[in-house]
Amino acid sequence: MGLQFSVHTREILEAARNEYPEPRSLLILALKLAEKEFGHLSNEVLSHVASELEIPESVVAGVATFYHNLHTQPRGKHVISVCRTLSCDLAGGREVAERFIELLGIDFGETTKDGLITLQSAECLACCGTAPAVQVDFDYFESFRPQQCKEVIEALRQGRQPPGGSGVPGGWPDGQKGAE
Amino acid sequence: MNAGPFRSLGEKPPILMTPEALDGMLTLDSYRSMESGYEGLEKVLKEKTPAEVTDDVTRSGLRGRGGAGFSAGMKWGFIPKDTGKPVYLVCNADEGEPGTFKDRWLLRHTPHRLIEGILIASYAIGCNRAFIYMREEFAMEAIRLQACLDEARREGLMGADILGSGWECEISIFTGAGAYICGEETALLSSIEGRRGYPRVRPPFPAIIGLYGCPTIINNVETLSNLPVIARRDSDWYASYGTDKSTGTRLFSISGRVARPGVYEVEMGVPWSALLDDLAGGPSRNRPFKALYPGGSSTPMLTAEEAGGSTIDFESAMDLGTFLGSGGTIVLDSEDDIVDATLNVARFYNNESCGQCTPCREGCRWILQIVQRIASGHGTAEDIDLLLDVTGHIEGNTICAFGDGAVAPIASAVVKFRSEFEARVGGAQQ
Repeated sequence: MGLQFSVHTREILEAARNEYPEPRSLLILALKLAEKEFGHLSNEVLSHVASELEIPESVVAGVATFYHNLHTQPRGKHVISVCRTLSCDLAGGREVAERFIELLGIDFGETTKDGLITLQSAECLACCGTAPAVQVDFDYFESFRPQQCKEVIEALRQGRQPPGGSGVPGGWPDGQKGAE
Repeated sequence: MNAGPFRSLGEKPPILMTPEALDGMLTLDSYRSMESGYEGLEKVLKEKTPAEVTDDVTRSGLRGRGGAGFSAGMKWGFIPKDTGKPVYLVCNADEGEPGTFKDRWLLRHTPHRLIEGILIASYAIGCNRAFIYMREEFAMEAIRLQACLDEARREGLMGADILGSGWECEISIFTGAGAYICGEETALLSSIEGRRGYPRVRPPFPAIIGLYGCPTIINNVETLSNLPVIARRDSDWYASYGTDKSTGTRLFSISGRVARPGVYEVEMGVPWSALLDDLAGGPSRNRPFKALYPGGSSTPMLTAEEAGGSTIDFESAMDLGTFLGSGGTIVLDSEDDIVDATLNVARFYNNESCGQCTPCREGCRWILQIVQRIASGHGTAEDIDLLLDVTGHIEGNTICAFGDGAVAPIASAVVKFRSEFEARVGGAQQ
């Protein structure tokens, strides 16, 4: 098997190791890092994580298939998540979803042919006071209007960060204490 | 986002949503200068034993703000003494109950207050390693909080020999991977241990056997954020807010058909109208309120009339057969369809059931199918009773409170708005 964690990923895992009494606490972090590095959690990736952490493959697979944000199938380079829980639904989340579906020509759970964008629905993003909420990767967009859909898609197609978000598309840098 | 105005029973100032907090106290300097930050911790470390701190918090009447509303001090008191095992504190920042976004506000605006609260709680229960379990989506909040933790460490407020007391405590952020159930405290522990987020059977309670099999206390962000001011002032001062059994204030995040959705602080015991009308501005569409989920979508629905005649405190909620839950109020007005709202809620719980217990895993799916059938006009009159029957077989038959929470909004909607369900069956179409 040719698959190996990068030095960077190993460093993050090593640093986190000191924070937890039991190494199995690193599993979710390791799976997130693996997904970032290898694209998705294929069987080969799961085996690698299992051997790195000395956790049975069955356990690793069980965890990888439990959490919404871990993925065993390939997804687009960017993910647009539209909240469909009640407050967002009341505030027009459905119109936002329909506009994305129309513009991208794909349904929830699907990826554009060029592999750029996956569209998915999300459950409550704790953003109900400024509904409807949309996430583009880890970037939060509050009070999102259907008119913004086009702008978001265009920005992603041009390799730009869509304007108006919370500004953290890469998410929380797990284990990178005080890196920035 | 709308945030800030406060309603009290008298002329009291807010506790959590102070003017300074609204501006944001993001640095240690600002927290120290504007709110005497970390003085509560210093006082506790210098003047009190852990048992005294626990007694103070019990006397303050502070009850958990995550959903269950259990006395915080009493919960701490369940930690067994001298087991020889480490004790853990976990801050539950996995906010995900539909309609709830108040912890996110606290994380964004008063991160140092939370850190001080975690340290005070850790001292009280004899914990030297605390974790903050945060939902992965709160990336901005995690980055901000980590910067504050780093700052606290640099200033000798975290790590070894805190403020020269000889006491040490480390705090780490653990981010989840997307699972509503991980806000359930034992599922949360499973998740930190690198497992599927399955809740555990109680007893034993986490205070006895929790994280890594060790005594563990799980407290909500808002609960912990109340500790610094209790430590700095005193428990009597805190208990002067609210009612006899529901002391202090409470953050409510309110959304749906209100003119000013947002996060507001109210003193316990104020009328619901103080929140719905004074703070949230009344109806957003000039139509009267019809119903609300008072404390998140897993709390039994109230009609607008029920809420209108009641006050915001644990006992009044119980009298109405509901809960204050996580303080996430979702309001519906006369134009909203209860069946459609119920469909959305049923879909949520079906999607988020962890699948461990059969009644919840299967039952949530059945509920969704029945509500879908009714909503699409293909239901029958029997379906309405079948719906109630299924909810009755889930409630009380599951390992954790998710099952009860999943059926509460369904059963209450059917009971209180049965005519709307009846209008949809037997060919009646929207």
